[in-house]
Amino acid sequence: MTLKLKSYRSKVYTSRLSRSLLLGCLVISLLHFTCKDALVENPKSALTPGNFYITASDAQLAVNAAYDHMGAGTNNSDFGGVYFNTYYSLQALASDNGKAGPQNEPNTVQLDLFRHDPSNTFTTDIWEDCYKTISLANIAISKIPDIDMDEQLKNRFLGEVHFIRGMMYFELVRLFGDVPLLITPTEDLSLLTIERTPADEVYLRILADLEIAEVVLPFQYSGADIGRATKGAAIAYLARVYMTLENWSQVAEKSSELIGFGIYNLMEDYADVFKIVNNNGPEVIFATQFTLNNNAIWETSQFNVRTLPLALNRNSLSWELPTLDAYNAFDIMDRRWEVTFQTSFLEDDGTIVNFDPHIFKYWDQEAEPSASSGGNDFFNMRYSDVLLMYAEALNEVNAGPTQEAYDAVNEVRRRARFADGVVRNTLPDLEGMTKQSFREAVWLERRFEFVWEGQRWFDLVRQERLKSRVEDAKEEVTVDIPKHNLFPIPQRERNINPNLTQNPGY
Amino acid sequence: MRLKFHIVSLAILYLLLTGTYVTAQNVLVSGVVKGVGSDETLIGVNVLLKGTSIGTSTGFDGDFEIEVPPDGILIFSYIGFQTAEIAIANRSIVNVVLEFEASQLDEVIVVGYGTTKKRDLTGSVSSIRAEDIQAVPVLSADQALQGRAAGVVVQETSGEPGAGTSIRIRGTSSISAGNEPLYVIDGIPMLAQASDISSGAAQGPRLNPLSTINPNDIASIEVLKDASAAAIYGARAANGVILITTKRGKAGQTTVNFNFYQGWQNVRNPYTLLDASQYAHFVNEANYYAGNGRVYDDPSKFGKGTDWQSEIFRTAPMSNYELSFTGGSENIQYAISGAYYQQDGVIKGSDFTRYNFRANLDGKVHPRITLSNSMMFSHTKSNKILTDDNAAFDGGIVTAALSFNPMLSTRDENGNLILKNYAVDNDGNPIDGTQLDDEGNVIPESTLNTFANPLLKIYDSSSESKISRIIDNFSITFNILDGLDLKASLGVDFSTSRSDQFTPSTSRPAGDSFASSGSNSTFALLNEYTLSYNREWDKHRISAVGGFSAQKTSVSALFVNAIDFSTDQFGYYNYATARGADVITNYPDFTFLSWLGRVNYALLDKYLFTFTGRADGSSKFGENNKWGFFPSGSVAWRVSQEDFMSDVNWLGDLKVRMSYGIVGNESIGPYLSQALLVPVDISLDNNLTIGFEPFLFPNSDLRWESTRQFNVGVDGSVLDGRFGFTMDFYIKSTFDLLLTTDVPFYTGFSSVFSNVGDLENRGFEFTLRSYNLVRDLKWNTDFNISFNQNEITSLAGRDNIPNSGGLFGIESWALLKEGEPVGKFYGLVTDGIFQIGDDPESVPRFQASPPLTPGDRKFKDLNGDGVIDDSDRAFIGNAQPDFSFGFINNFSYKGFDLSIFIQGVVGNDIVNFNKFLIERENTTSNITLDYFANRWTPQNPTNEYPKVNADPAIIRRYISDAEVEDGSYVRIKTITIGYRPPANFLKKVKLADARIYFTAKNAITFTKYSGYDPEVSHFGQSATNMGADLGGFPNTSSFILGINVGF
Repeated sequence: MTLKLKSYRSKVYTSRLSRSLLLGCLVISLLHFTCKDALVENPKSALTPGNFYITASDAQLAVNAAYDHMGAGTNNSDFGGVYFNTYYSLQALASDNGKAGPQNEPNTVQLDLFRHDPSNTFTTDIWEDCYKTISLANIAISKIPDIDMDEQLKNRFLGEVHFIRGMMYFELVRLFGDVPLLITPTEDLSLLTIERTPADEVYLRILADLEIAEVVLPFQYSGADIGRATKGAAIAYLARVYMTLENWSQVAEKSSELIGFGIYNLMEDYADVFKIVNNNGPEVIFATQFTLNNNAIWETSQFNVRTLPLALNRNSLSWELPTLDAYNAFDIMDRRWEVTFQTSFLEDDGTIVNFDPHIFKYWDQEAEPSASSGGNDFFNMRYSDVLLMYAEALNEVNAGPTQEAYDAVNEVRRRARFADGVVRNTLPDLEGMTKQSFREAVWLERRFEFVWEGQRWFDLVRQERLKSRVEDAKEEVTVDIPKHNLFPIPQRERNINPNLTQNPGY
Repeated sequence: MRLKFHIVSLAILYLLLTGTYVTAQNVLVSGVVKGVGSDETLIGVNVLLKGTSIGTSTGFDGDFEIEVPPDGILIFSYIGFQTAEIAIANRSIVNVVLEFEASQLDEVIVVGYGTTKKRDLTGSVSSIRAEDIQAVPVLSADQALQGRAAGVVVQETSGEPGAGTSIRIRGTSSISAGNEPLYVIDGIPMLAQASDISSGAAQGPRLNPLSTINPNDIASIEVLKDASAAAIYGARAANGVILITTKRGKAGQTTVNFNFYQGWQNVRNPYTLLDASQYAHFVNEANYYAGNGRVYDDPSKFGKGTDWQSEIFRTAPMSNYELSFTGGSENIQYAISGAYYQQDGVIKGSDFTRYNFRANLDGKVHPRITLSNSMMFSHTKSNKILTDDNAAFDGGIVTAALSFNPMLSTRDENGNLILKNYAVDNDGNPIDGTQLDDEGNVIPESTLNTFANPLLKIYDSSSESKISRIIDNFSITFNILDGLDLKASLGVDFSTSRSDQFTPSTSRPAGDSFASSGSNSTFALLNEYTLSYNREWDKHRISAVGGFSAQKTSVSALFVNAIDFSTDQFGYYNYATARGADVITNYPDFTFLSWLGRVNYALLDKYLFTFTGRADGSSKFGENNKWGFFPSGSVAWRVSQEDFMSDVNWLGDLKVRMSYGIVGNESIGPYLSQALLVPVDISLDNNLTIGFEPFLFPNSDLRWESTRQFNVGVDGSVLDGRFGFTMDFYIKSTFDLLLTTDVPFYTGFSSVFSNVGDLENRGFEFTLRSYNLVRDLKWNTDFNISFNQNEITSLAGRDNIPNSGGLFGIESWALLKEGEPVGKFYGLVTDGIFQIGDDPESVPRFQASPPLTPGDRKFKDLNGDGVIDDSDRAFIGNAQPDFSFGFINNFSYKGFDLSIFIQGVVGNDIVNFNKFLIERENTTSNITLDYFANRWTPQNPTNEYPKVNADPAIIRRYISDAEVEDGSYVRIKTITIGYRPPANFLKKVKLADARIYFTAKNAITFTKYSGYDPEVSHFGQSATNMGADLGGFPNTSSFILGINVGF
């Protein structure tokens, strides 16, 4: 044996061929598999928490992400963020303003007919997107304080995400009632069994978040930052929260404070409010930003695709339509009526297309003739809203309308008389009204002003007339109160966490 | 064709280089060949001088004569018998008795990092030989396994040419980490995850990675089933291992083979749907029950209308050409082949083309050094048709064809394809938004659903996928001293793929064109060093192997998609014309490091022991769990070798085996343990900017799934090997299951990936091979059957985990629950039909539903709360079969052969989601004639099918037992009739061999399933979503005519 081995050795080791082959193999092997770090993962095309949340620029990117899921929702499984489409469609459908279009999409039909169940995708999507936004705000709120950066900028970033979180919980608590209240980043699975937090407690957190934002946010931005949350947005949202809580003196105080800033104005013509060029104009206090841009897919708004008639020779699908009740509620000389609705359209080739009333207010025909997408922002808060909140609050706080209350509501009505440079002889100023008639007049004004702006169901629930209004507008529908004053907790969430109770009636 | 010329010239070159000449002084040797246990002489036995091409065959009396050197070795081979090598040893008469094949104890079995003889095997291994693989003309090797090996359940998930199969070895042992076995081709563990190979940019199912390999290049397939056999592949072995060994050259035997076949495929069982006048009746009646007026005043005038299924289906040809050369000298051997395969799909517009080239070379460059190279190249190209349903997006072609209005013509009067599923008016004109009413207003468009005309997909949407793949393994073996070898190998698996897909604006409901393109380049490098040792002395026999292995895979992928092209003219060729092209890049890489070892020890050729261990490190897992160790041990006792058995003459061989070990499953993607951050686009003041957000729940403890497997088995043969059998019983317990489980949205995530839960598979397998007739008329039978029971033993505290494969908005139609198997369907239980006279208030109904009226379907209120809702669901079916079997009978008489291969799967259920379209009461889709003919009417108060109703009150969000069907089937998988001309005729025409054959595949199927085919899986290989049927590319039956010629 040993002899054999020796002779073999001499042979092999003198064989240049085999020696070089062996060496070659070993070298290739060593080049590719140095054992030490071979099993450590270093993803080339992604960031990890270990190399992020370090610089001011990281802080900005973390804050930006929270805005994404309000608007485009780029990475969402359901496409689109909170205000992309479902939010305003739901507010219209589940009210006297809107009905399902000819698509017969089941979720739309459910909401229209008040047959929505806990699996409705509109409510589920809004829930998902609100909480995704909250989770991103929570990450920013927990990570940014430790980043070494300019303190003023740091505070502004924190103000933005506090505002966003407050706003999201405000949507959730109004839509679903008691909801899980999470204010720290998700790091383990202990959250899987938590219970719903009482709405009162959620409201305290909303107020606290908005108050932080109110203190640290700037009045205005310039350049690429235009569109971020401002001090005015925080104050106006505080007014809206207080209005929901019927704390009228606070509503009056907050709206008066905002009006006093003097930086917001109504556009002269109601039609101009919805021109893309005025997206961040003087009337806009906070808007979900969308972009008409060649590189944008989900970052464009979906108003036109959803609301314009199928009959147009365009990419429009009549997903949801206004009710005749809404269409007929207006004074036909009211500028807002012709801006909001259309029943016919003159195509380029001269043919006239006729159709049932459709929402046209979001279509900026000059800027976006194809209507295949939209650069229109979604207006979460316009100045006219603050004026109407102020008017309603003064009426509630006092024994009836004060002069300031009349002035505020009449400012909105005056604008509605203005059409293309002409002041119409219609919509006279309000005067000499009782507390109740003024209250109802303001409610009506809100309806005319905010069709399809994500307000109607909230208003009807707050005004305790969801059942009467909806049943008047849609004769085949029965509304259950109090059941329909809230939407159902999404079934998916309850499947995973049985500790989440369902709202009564669902 | 050019390819084949290259092959020919290469082969000739090799022949010139390696030709051998026999020069020794020859003598004449004669003898008679008989079969064991009888006086029967064997006619036509091949007799060959080892290491040469000199040979003859036995005559009518089993006799032969041959001139050979006196020290030569003769090889006797004959179908059904073991091949024997007999030394001439200066004799002039050599008489031989051949043993039956069933007891082929000396058969060499590939076991991973080595081979063993069947007699020494202690683990559970199924071996499939080349002739069985070639018996069924198939596109890829995995299909050839179907029904061939006990414990291996193969399902063709789709009839699309080149589509993947789903293979389960001994049950479902993982829920989400993949259940497919590890494939090892010529020593290289394959990347078999479709995502690693094809870019998937084209819509529709991804191609099967194994479809890149020509099955006729395969010499044998070994399936390593138990832990003892598989543990040598450690962390990748829990789903079993399939070793594929390709053909290699043999010294002296120069063979040239040409194979050709041509086949035709058809859709097996199209649905019978309503024709136009029947559909008009249906619309009228459905509107009557909806309280509306009559729509069509004379339904019969619409005639037959359009049969949309026959518009999309066709008889599709397929053909295959192969040329192979094997041979060599004592020092250099080669096996070279080239093949061309072309198959059209039964859906118009789909096809698959494959080019293969293989060259296996072995050379002895030094008495102690052997070089080996195995090289495979393939290029596949396929045109695909989107068959999956995705109603919210495009809709699949099959679901569209099923649901399309039969009253609608395929084209309008201008010859353009109709765009959508329009309703038609009383005059038969589509209501497409171009007509005016009396007042000149446009009549709003009216469509049944959002599906686009399926023909648009065939004629306007192009979808192409190309994959090129090279697999090469180069090795050097140093024979250090007798019995001790060092082997170094370097292997490469390199593939590039490109997929493009375009859907024009006309075929998208939203009218915006869509395109996607992707390319993917995958480079996997394998480097291994093994030391193997074999020694025999006295009563001992030992063989051992140990080594190191490293495998690194790098993928670079580029993916583009865009919508809304300014013109449809360019398709996917010009992304500059689109609005908002999205570009996604991805560069995952992952590394595998391993130490491995195995020792086999045999004492007295009676007591056999095997110990195996592998330590695997994988980059994919959390930083706390990078390395794992996977040991196994087994013993076997060859009872028949004991003295006390020597009198039992009828028993040829009897072996009892037992094994235990742990193996792992690591088939998950890289980076799943990390909380990666991804960019998102946001708008600010009409500009885009970006943000970064986490998209995975971090988990630094992420580790592989582990499976403990216990196996006992018995192998035996009786009556001189005329009957051979194998049986095995096993228990596989899998723990640390990798699960993606949904988490509440309020966490900010939708799911988390972690190790939770256990499950168990228990099963029994039985294989029998018998030689029933061995004279002129030969008949042998292979039979195998396997039973498997699957149970989820723990879900780590979760009450249940619903699946998430939502179709038609239907949620959680299957549910994982402790004590139940994976794949249990979960839904409502029907309770007949509401009849005239029933009390509407007493019948439970959906909360949002108005009181039932006669003809409405009733559901059982299982929790008794008076309302039908999600809590009234129960388990209503099981996607996993009770047992599956294969039964093969081969007959031959003179030159004729007949093979009948019956295969079956029994006890599984299928959720037929197609029924949500075509057994739906409202008029948004065409329906089956069966439903319409048997629907409830006052005259037909059936309890099976509800009445039709254009305005149903409720949208059902759950499946019910009305959609669950028995998926059992028994099918004649293939019948093949072949003819081989007599040897003297072949000699005359100077051919070594020739055979023509006719095969009918899936010709006859016995099943109660109403869909296209019971072999179906809408969600491919998914375990949680198994057993769903919707749209999809139907499986086919086919007829094939082929010829093999050997020169």
